[in-house]
Order: sequence, then C-alpha cells, then structure tokens
Amino acid sequence: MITRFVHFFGSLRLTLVCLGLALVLVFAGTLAQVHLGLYVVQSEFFRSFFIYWKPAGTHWQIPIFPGGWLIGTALLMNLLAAHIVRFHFSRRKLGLLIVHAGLLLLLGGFFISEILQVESQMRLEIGETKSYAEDSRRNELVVIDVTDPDRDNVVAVPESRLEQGGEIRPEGLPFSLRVKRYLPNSQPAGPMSGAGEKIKAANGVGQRMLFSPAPVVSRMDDENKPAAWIEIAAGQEVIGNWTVSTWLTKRPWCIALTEQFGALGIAVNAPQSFTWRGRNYVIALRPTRYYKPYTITLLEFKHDVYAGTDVPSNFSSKVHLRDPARGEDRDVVIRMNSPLRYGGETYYQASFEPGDRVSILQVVHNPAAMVPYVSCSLIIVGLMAQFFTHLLAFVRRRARPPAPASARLRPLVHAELMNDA
Amino acid sequence: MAFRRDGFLSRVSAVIQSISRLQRFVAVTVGVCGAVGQCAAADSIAAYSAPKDPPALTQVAAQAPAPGVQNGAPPIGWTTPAGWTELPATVIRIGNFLVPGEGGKKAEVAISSFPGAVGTEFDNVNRWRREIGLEPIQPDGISSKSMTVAGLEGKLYEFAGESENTVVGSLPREGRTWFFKLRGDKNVVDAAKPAFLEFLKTIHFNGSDAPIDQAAPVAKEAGEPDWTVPANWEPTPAGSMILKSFSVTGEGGQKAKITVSTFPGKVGGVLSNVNRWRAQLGLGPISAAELPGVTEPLPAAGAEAILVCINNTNMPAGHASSLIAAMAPREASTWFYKLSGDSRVVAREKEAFVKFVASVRYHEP
Repeated sequence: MITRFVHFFGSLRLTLVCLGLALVLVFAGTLAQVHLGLYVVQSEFFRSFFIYWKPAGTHWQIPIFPGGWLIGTALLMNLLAAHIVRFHFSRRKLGLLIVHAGLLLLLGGFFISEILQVESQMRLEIGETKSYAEDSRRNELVVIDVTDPDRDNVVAVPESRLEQGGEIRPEGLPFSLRVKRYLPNSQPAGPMSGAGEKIKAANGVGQRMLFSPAPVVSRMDDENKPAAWIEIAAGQEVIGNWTVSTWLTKRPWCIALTEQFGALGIAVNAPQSFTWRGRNYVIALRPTRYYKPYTITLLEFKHDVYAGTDVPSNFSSKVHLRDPARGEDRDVVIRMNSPLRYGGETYYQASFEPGDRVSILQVVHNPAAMVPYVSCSLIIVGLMAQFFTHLLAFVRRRARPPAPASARLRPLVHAELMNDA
Repeated sequence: MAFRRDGFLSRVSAVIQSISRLQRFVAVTVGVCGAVGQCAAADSIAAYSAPKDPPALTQVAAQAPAPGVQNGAPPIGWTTPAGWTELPATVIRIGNFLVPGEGGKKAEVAISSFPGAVGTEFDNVNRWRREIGLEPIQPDGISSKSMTVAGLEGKLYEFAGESENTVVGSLPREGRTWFFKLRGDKNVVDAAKPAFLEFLKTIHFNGSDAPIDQAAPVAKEAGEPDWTVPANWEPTPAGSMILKSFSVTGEGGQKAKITVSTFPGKVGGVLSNVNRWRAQLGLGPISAAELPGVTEPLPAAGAEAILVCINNTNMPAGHASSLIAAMAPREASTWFYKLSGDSRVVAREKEAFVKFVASVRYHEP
C-alpha cells in the first residue's frame, strides 16, 4: 500500500497531470481577473488549495478545481518522491541531481516568498524625509500616545481584527477599544444625504462627516475604503467614540474629501485626538506602516520624456539615505531598472504624481529574494555539468585509439573456426 | 529461487528506506512550514515606539484657518455680550461662546458657515430637533420668524426640548449659509435669548466671503469638462460638493435646478445612488432586481452611464417632486448630473438635460 503510494507520487504521469492542471488554472485565473480583479484571483485561485463554488443563497463551499497551492505541493512531492524511488547516486547523474536541487530550491523559495514577502510604498515629496513605508492594501487602527515630545508610542490593531468586532484590549493601552460597527467599504455621507445606515460618532470629525456602507469592491482600479466606529472605554467609564476611516487618512481620498466637503473638509485629515489621565492620544485608521531603522529623503525627482513628445523615457529619484547605526549617509539615485537595495529591502521607482514633485517608491521586503538567483544558478550549473559529463565521455570514447585490424578480426576467425568444428 | 528471494528482500528494504527518508522529509517540511507560518502570523496587535511624523499635510491642514477665515482675518465680526465667555474657534465654529447659567448649567453659542444651502429647511429643522431629542416634523409644521442680520434677511427658529432648548438663526449670504445657534439648558437658553438677539444685531461682515466657495471646488481629477449649456439655464453659486449648478424657471415661476458633481471611485454603485435619490423624494428603497425597471442606459454619456427618472407627486409644496439624474462612471471617479424640482419644469427640461449630459467632454487627467 505504502509502496503504491510512494510510486504514485513518484510517477511521471502525476507530473504531467499537475502541469496540465497548472495550465488550465493559469488560463482560467487570467480570464477571471476581468470580473474579479487581480487580488481576488490571486487569493482564490493561486493562494488556495481549492477553488470553491459558492452556490447563491447558501454558505456552502464546494471545491471544484485544485488551487495553486495544491498543484504546487503535488509537484513538490512528485519531484521528491521520484528522487526517493528512482534515484541512485552516480557521478554520471551529478548534473541531474544539481538541476533537481535547483528546482526544489525554487519551489521552496517561492513558498517562503509567498508567506514572508511584504510589499509597500513610500510616497515622498521633494524635501520630505520618511522612515516608514505604507501597505497599499492592508490597514491598521492606531491609537498613538503623542504626549512625549520626541517620540510616539503606537498601538496598531490590524484591520482584520476589526472585522471580528467586539472588545479589543491591547497591551500598552490603559483602556479598551470597542468596535461598535465596522464597514469593509464605506462612502462619506452628509447628515442630510438620504436615508440608510450611517455611522455617526459623538467625538471628532465623525460628528459631521458620516459614513454609510458601500459594496465591497475587488477591481484593480478601485479599492475599499473601510470605516469603523470605535468606542474607547476604561472599565465602565466611556471616554468617547470616534469614526475612523481611510477616507480620512489615505491619499487621494482625504484630499478629495477636503476639497469636496468645503468647510467641513478642513477637519477631514486633521488628527482626531483626546486626552485621558493627563496623556494625549490620537486615533486613526490608516494604511499599515512598516518602520525602518533608517531614513530616506527625496532630494530630486526627474521625469524625462523623449524629445518633442510627452512619452516618458525615464523616471528617477535622487534620495539621501541616512542610517546612523550603520554609518550610512549618502545620496542614491533610484531609476526604473536600478533599484536601491538596503537593509534587506529593495526600493524600486514605481510611480509619481502629476507636477513631478512627488515620487512613489515600491518597497519590497523578501527574505527569499536571492533564492531564485541561487536556484537558477544551480540549474545552469547542473545542466552544464550534465552536458559536459556526457560530452567528456563521448570525447573520451572518440579519443580512444582504434584497435588493430587483426585484433578486430580474431574473434570472427575464432567463431568461424568454432562453427566449422 | 534463492536469487529471486534476495532480490525481493532487497527491493522491500530499499522501499522501506525510501519511506523512512520520505517521512523524514515530510517531518522537516512540516516543521519548516510551521516555523514560516509562525513568522508570517504577524497579523497581530503591535505596540512600538516610532518617530513623530514630520509636519505634513495633516498638520498643515490642522493649522489651516477656520472656515470663512481669509488672509488671517475672519470675514465676520461681533460684540460679545457681557457674561459670555468667548472660546477658541474650531474648524467648524467661526464663533464659539459659552453662556453660563445657575447651578453650573450652561448653553453654547456657535457661529458657522457652509457653502450652498446646506440641505433644505426641512432637513435642517429636523436635524436641530433631533439634537435636543425632539421627533421630526412634517414640512407644513415648520414655523420661523424673520430676522435681520447685517442688513440681510434671515430666518429664526426656536425649539423647546425636554431638557434643552435651541434658538437658531439661518442667513443666506453670497452663496453661503450662516448659522447662529444658541443651544443648551432650557433655563439658560431662555434667560440668554434676549442677549442672543441683541448679539445678532452686532454681527457685521468684513467684505465678501465669496472666494471661499471657489476655494472648495470639486475634485479636479480630470479637470472641468467642456459642455454645452442650454441658453435658458442660469448659473447659480455651487455648493461644497457641487462642481456646477444651474437653475431654470418654468412658465408659472416654478423652479428646477441642475447640479454637476463628481466623486472618486464608484460611490456606492447604481443601486445605492438610485435609492439615495428616491429617499430625497420621500420614496422607499428598491431592490437590485427592480433596478432595470427604473434606469435606462445613456450611451451618449459613456458605456456604463445610466439615466434615472423619479417622481413623487405627493411631496409638500416647495419641495422637489421630480428628479432626473444621470450617473456616468469614469476610470477613477463617477460624475453625477441631476435635474430636480417642480415636475412640470423637470419634464419640460428633460430633453435639454439629456442633451447637456451627452455634450460633456472630459479632459484626460
């Protein structure tokens, strides 16, 4: 039974089936992006073990096709099992061994990247210095103790925790946070704008700037703007309640609101603050931040175009990198194909804002970033080793001196003699 | 035979060894996956110390002058009555006062200013009533007195709640609406009312505050489009959320207004906007299944553009009883065009409105 199991996983047939399924998956996933958007397809088709069908009006989830993780895992096991069942070490197969080790490393590295890679963005105006990047998809509820004149003490609650509702008692805060309402997507509403549910807070900008639920979106060119109604209480004592939303903190939405809500707009992106037992706090829902132990200042942004046209030929950001702990204090130019690699992170020139005063850098943190290079190198070395092993054997055979004609004839003569005997 | 048995045993032994190696591999893989999974489970509450944000837009905005303040000087002036404490202005309150009463009771006086009409009288009155715990009333139950502030005619409303009273004056001026509100404990408000009315007489405006409207335009994501405006439409001051506004008058003096606005994103989609418009005419929401029955495509305004016509002849006099709206989703924003008002004027202007919407030419960002 176990033998059959191992042989099943080691079979070439399984390899072909997995590759076939992967082809279908990629094709179907590409088509599905039209309606579902990139991020939903990534999570439901490729970052899952199964693709589920959810019949309308039910909570059922019926698996209808293997997902990317299942196919990838099957291929990984297939490769390993094939080695275990069939592999016999010999010098002639050293190249193949290295090629397969490279493939395994590639699959393993991909798995690690899937889980540990973090992508974020750093938006810098000319002259601006930042020590953090912001996630373009994830958000966090932050309660910041801003009393200290030099540094802030931040307690960050991921948005996924707000979805669960209820009471949150973060360590480091002398009070608890009660999620009275969470809207995964919201739209601003005035007090006089029609009927329907609206979040209205007792404190802060949420007294006048209301939010109503909006359908969750998944398209690439749109994004959800969550809002939450948070009550802060110390035991039985309610300190107040506030509305928080990325509408109030994230560009370009907060700018659009500031413009559109006129007089109210001035308060839109002002910090929502309160005082409790002599300490000052600010509450906000903002894009998740990733702080760095160094700072980056945008010195210059260039947006070159081909002569006589508006077609961009090059974007580049001249930044100043400052890391006192490591003695770094230098200027760096980041171009489209020439990123800055520092502190385990890679800064790519990703975008800019009209006016050429704002540069947007894509920040990629990937502990397995080198794995594809190493694995591809291994595969190249393995293929070359395999090629040269065979080439050498072939050359050796060719280089061997031909046997004398008498020696070649002798067995024949002997055989003929035997036949006659 | 013996040879065959040896071969069989050696193959069994090899398979067992292979399985053993496989088990070791699975154990190691599971261990690594677990460790990586633990590392990846960073989606938890974090507490850390961080450098303060450098002065950025948020701080600049917080330090920006209060609404209605131009060049550092407020466009309005007053004489504070004796006994009132003048408090710092806020982003909403241009004037902010505390009126003390007996036994620690108090009332507040607030002066605020907003672009446009800030909703209808019906909306505002019921908002003020809700603030002091009163039930909403119907439009025909609204009563007000006239008041004069800085030579301009306005309306004065009074509301008596269970524990709180409100006296509020509303004054339209140069495309904005100014509100002067005294609200707080019943007894304190009653006692302070004469002083409040005297206070209103001291109000004066310093020059024009019209540029504020222009300072709060709708998003210029794609710039203001080009369009052909019918000759009988008269431009009117736009509000904070309105890019352009026009009015049109019927033969009997009935009015209808046309507004153009734009918002980023999908703004809730078609259904929620249709229900929002229905609510404006006092009608209940409809379901998604009913949507095709009330909307029609408007291809001249874009592939996804729709036109919706809503009527409610039971609306009280003075309220819009008919509404035609066009919604044109663009790449990163949605444009809204609305014709609302007297049903006869709306019906007459429908064709011109559709032509106007079809004439819009957006500028690429």
